[in-house]
Amino acid sequence: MERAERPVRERILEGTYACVARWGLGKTTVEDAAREAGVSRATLYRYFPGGRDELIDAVVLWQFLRFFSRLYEELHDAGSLPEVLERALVFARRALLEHEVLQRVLATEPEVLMPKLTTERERLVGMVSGFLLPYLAHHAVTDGVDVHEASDYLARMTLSLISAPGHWDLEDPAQVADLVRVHMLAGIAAS
Amino acid sequence: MEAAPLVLVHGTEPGGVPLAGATAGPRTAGSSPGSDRRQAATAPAASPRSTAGRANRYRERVIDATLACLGELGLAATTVDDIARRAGCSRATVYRVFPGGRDAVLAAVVETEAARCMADVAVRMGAAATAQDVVVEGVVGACRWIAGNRALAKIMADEPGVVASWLAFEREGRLLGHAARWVAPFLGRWLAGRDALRVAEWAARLVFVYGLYGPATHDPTDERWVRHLVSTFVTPGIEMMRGSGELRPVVPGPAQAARTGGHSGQSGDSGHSGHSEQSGHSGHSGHSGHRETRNDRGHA
Repeated sequence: MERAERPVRERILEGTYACVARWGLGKTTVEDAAREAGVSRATLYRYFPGGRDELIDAVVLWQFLRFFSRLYEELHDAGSLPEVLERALVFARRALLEHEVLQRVLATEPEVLMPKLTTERERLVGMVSGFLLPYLAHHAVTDGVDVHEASDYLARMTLSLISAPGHWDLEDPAQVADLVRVHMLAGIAAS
Repeated sequence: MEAAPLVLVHGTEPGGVPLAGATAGPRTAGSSPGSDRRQAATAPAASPRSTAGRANRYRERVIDATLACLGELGLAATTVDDIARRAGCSRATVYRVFPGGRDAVLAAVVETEAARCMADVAVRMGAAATAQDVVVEGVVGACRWIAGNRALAKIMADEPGVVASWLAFEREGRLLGHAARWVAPFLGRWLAGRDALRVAEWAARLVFVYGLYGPATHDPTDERWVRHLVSTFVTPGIEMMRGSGELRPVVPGPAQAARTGGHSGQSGDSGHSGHSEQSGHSGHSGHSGHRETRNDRGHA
């Protein structure tokens, strides 16, 4: 019942995601996704005329958007720019490591996922930058710093850190505070 | 296509395949492995008839031919036949010089190109007069090398997954780690141990996120823009580290004794010319045991 009330597009995406979780990206077919979502092939093609490729791309984007809505929820009570970045880094890194489907696909089908992440990366820079911009606009920013340039810089560095923390241990609050204060915000917000 | 990136990683590892570029630390920055290579290729006089000399000569030809093929055909389409034709030799010769075949040739190409890139960047960073300049020169040098590499451009455009898989998650982390350990000594005059490593890793990230994460908002090969980026976002952090008051040894810096007057006048570290002059005039041994506090550097 509840299932029937949800928008068809959402149902198709959920069904596709369930198939990917079970069989992987490469083996998920349009037929599987339609069956899992409880719609016909024709209906699926009406929503995703590009077929399988469009469907898979849409599922990847849909997962990113779900992640961002969780991130907004997580950070709704963060007061300062340093706090936003610290909590976002910790939350995002943990979400990435704990995302079972993503980890499984990365381990078993990197050649299928990696090209998609490359094209998504440009979009992600824009999404993270747009996420940070209001915080920058409401926070005292060092004179002469362009908030758009700063949010683009912070977005790129945040994505890089989440993908590969390098020398940084994002589980250690003291290190994360140091990272944000010294490396990310020293030129942007006087603390 | 596992071989190429793996060798890139191994090749830059201390104790791994001795890459010319990997061993080109700050003090040997002037000697470019690229020029060594050309000398080797154009110096048959040493042993014109020896098998080793011939193999060496073919090695260069095969590597250059492979680069040309990659730039025209991309990675997946480049075969040993293409390489042999381009190099003007037989398939058998390619296999004699590279018994591992296509994968071995590609691995050698990655290794050679990494060494060339590191040599270019080492020369730029070795001549830097401030910590900020090390970062600027490193980023500009690496991004210009990336932008000028036809083979890499072709593969990034047509086969993005190949490059992406080196630039995300575990592999990205490994590459960052190698780059950071390689760059850190160039910062040794201004930053110690962990701080140098952190700034070096940050510089490597700048190359990744502006040079390789898809189209950047600005051109990372434009030195003026990179200097603006680094002085706005990175230098204040470097100053914060240096102003933290810990004691640290003064590390003899890159060969720039003669450049003490050549300060750029940029913000950041350029205000510390007194320190540059000091290390410029002192010999290597004169530094051992010399310590100073970071607070002596006149930071606000």
